[in-house]
Amino acid sequence: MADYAIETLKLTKFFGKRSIVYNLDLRVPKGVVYGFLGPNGAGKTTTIKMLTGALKPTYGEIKIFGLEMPRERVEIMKKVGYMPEKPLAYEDMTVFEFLVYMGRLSGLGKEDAKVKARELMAYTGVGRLAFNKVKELSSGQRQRLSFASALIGDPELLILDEPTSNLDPIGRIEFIGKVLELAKSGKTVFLSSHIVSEIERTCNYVGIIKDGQMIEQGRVKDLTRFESNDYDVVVSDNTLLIEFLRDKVYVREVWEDEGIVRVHLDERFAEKFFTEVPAFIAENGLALKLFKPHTSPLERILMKRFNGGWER
Amino acid sequence: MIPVFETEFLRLLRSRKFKLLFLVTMFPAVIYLLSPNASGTGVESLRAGFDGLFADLLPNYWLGIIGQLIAVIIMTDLIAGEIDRGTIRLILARPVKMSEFMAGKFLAGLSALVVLFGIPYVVVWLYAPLPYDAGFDGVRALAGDFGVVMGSTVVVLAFLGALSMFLAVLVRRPLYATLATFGVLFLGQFILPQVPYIEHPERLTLGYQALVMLKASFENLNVVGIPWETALAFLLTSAGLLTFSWFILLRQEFPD
Repeated sequence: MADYAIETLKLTKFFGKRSIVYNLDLRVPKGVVYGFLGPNGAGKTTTIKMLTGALKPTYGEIKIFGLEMPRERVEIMKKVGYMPEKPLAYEDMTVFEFLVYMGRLSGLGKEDAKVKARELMAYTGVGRLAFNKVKELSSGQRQRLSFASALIGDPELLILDEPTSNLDPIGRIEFIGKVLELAKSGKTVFLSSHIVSEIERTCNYVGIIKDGQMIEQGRVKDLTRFESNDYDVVVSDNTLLIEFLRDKVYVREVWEDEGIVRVHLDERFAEKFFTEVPAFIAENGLALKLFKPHTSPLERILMKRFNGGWER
Repeated sequence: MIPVFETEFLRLLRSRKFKLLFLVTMFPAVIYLLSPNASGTGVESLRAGFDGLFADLLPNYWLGIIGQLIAVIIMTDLIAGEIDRGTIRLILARPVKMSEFMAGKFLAGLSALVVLFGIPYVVVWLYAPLPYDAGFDGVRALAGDFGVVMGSTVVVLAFLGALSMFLAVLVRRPLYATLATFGVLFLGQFILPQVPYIEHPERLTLGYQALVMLKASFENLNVVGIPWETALAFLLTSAGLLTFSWFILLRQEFPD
């Protein structure tokens, strides 16, 4: 069991008669970036609140690094950093005071907490706000502070609930970069989001939750293997490429849309597409300007599973 | 426990609420500074005057309704505020035991109350010998009485704090918890004792019981009770209330 950073077994949470999370079997291997994906109201935050001890499961088990939650919460939390969906902090404290306090609660000594707080303020971009009160921060700045506070105990597992929801586009890109850096350093990251592109760019594992139940879970690569059937291609002579593709056995349909050649592949013969097209381009001296799946494969899985009903 | 205690204590001391409440607790001391009304000179007169002053002000002001309200306002917010604002989820996500968290909060609140009530007491203690012309001998002579006043106050404040925390954990909203605690105190001291078959209803107030504890050092106090028994009863009740609060807190959920 301890091979997983997080493992849940039939995790269920009822509020009254309504199940918010139902028989959820979550398996997050150590050292991965796990995207917990689902539309608003799917049960992501409720699951995370159970993982962090704020809610108790109606039934089911939670193990984090093989330790049982909530029974061994204190031991578990020595290894976990948590960033809530809504950034929480003490409004009357300064940014520096808040981080030092969180550091000390994570077990650091007073001086170590101060050093770590300074380091993390610089890392997350709130260094110049060190002596501003939390109540003076914008929502994006609070989100950065919340990220810093999740990191202050140098956790092995980071649980991030909708971490980029208040960030501007540049902040989001920076954040994704930081998550990837942390993953490289060996930390396990559990990241919930309803933004598909964010999960695709950041995560190597994904779990998709719908109405409180897990509907897909595994490596992103494995889940999307059979989903890349539509391709967008742009070459220096699109007409020539369309002529070439029109009668091929692996092409179901090909057409040009605003200067982009869209190819709908027959998945049974799709491999040929990836050998013949590059050869054709090289033989005819064409310049290749674009070659990518039309929509993201993960997005396509979601569209199938949610019948298009997904808030992005 | 130490980080929670230190941080919470400093937060309380810096808060606007604390400064405002300090003006309220200082009020009788300021009045005393302005008009000490010394009834003689020398250490004996000083002790009689000091004891009389505290026997009057403790049940009627510092540990009367106003003092109780101050203690309740400070103590209910400590945990109910964390639950109401959701910051308790930050604590749960740290390797901190709930018992340590509660103990840190309780001691921080109690320490802040000791500062709030202790400063005016100290001011009176140090100033009183002046109008009585008793000098340092007077300060020394009052030390024992001052210790008992401070001790009795701390015991009553600890009880008020524990009751506030207990109701704060149950009610989970600072304002409602304050009202509930104050309601319970008012009911217990002034309404229930009116029931006809209760003898000596005046003894059921915290102020009266504080006077019982003052008997440990004060002379000529016309109250019935044994000081150490009263103190022990307050402390045991406080410990019981805190244990219940911890027990309830462990079983609670924090969805917001």
